[in-house]
Amino acid sequence: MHIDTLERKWLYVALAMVLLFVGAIFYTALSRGIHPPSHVETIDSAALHLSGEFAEDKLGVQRELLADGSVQVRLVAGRYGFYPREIEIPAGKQIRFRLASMDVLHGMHIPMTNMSTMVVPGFVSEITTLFPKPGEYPLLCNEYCGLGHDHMWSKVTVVAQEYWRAPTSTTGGARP
Amino acid sequence: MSSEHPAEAGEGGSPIGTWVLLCLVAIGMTAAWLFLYFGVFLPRGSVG
Repeated sequence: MHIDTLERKWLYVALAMVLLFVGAIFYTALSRGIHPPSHVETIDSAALHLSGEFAEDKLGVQRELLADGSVQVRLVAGRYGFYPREIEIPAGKQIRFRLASMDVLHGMHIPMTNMSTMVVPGFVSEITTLFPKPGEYPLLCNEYCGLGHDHMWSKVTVVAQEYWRAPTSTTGGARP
Repeated sequence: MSSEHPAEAGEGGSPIGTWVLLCLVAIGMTAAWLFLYFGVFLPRGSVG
């Protein structure tokens, strides 16, 4: 097949760019452990309130840190809201979110961060990330879930590590 | 009036405009991608 010299050079340049981009992604994925959330764990969405982990008093920021030192947060999505409605987490520390939907498909997205995942009914979504900058972030549903979809949001407050204290209440860290 | 084809007229010469366009596109796209990946995505923290 004849390819014009100029076209071939355009192809080489495009190929070099693709290799550079893919190489950068692979290198950082391996060196920093970056990968798409891939967690398969099933749960009965109709009985979340009866389950041990996603019962109301177990939601929010957990008092005990995980073995690797990360903070665990449990959230339930459903009925056009995330529960608890507000959470407070430390900046610069690994945060492991575990989410379940009580009704239909939802998404969880925190703009201006890398936090984004789907919350599929019948499955537990798990994603680990960190928030380098303190501040207040909205937590939005980014999968259309019904007429109240655009009202489905909560608030995440990220505070500097030195000002953050693990929750001591029996509500698992859910702010009032 | 010349009946020479434009491609033939340029044959043997250096297509400066094409090289400029190629360089602008390649450098611009690469710089933009690298900025978004290393300057925006990675500083927001690891995810997995």
